[in-house]
Amino acid sequence: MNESELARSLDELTLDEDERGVVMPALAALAAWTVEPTSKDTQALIHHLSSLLPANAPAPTNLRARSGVHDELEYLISVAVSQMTVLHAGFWVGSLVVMAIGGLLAASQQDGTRNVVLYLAGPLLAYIGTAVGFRAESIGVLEFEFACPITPRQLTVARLLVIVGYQTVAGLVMTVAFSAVIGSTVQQVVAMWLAPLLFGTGVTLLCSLRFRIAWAGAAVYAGWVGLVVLAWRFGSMALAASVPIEVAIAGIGLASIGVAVWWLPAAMPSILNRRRWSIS
Amino acid sequence: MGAVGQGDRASLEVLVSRYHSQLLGFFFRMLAGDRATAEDLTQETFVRLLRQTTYSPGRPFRPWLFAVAANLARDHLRQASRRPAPDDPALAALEDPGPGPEARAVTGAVIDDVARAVAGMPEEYRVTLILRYGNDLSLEEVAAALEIPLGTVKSRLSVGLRRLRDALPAERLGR
Repeated sequence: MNESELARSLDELTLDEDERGVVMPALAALAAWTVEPTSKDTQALIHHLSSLLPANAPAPTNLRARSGVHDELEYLISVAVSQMTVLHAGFWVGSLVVMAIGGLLAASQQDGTRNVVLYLAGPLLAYIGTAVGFRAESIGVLEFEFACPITPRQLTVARLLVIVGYQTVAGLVMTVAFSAVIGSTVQQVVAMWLAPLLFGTGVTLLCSLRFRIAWAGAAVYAGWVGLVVLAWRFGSMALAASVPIEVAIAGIGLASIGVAVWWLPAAMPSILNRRRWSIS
Repeated sequence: MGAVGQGDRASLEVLVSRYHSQLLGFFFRMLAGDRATAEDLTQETFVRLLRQTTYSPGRPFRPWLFAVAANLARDHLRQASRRPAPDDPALAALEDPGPGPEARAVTGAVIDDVARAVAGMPEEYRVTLILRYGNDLSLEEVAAALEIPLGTVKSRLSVGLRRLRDALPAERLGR
């Protein structure tokens, strides 16, 4: 700061002329009171800092650039929107068809059989959603996850939003459409398919950390069908469809989703190894 | 800054070359001429830049850089003030808040007096004066760096200048 700049800077403050005359030389001295690094110092500092540079990290930079819940939410939504393009039309149509058929069947059945139909529809949706949307080999989802700068955990959460969100909205529409025919309240019908949907999705995702997603989904769905058939045969469907059981089923599903999302980064190397093994 | 975050060494060189001198000067003044600690804190500031999580593109860089530096200087001064006073006279001499030997050797008597006066000021006035008149940040940049209102910056500067004037020997100021 030269003398004229210093004088101008003092105009910002309410100093009288005497005060200005007194502090001007002091401020000039303050500006002059410094040390300069040598070029060797600067090069040594650059050398030290270079060793701390991220190797090649565009993604972390992007992630660091966001701060706050609002930014994170906005980012998650933008990732979720981008994930919609990854999914085949078969998923969108298939989910809708399952819900429509489920609705039609439920509307045409008596109470006991209706519960069975709804209990089977939810996990079937979960099977379709997880098999197509999470590490589906046919569309190279796993390769996409590894090539993508977004973390697998973020991708999974975004994809859950898209898949479960879409299936839930589609299910709600169908439920409202058929509720008059079915006779039960909308809440009762929603609980009948939503709880198993969450259960199927969560347990399948959890099992997929250890087994291939298609096998995990098929095993979970087969196990679920077996349980429902047993409950039906032994006349326990009313108990199985009671509110506490539905809440427990949904709770297990949500907890499984949470655990699967949490453990996903640690499980990625073994998932990749399984994929390599299946390719070879 | 974005390129540095992506691991671009050339951008790092530009960043360090541009701000090394400014940061070293800032810490040197804040720490009353302790060059060795000023160099350590300058390096620590750059390390924090590389590991930072709070900078977003579009945010003015210099106030943010000096916000990091000011926080480091503040932390260091607080830690230093909590240390017990040394009994050894030689150690006590090292803790002298006046300008260091290097500053004394290379600067004139006025600078020496100004350095002592600034070193004796409360930290909030010292950092405001140094950022504005030592590092040539605008009032708005100082406000952003210290995260205080513009009016507070002006008031600190006014009070700081009066304290500076009062702390200097009369003969230095032609009084």
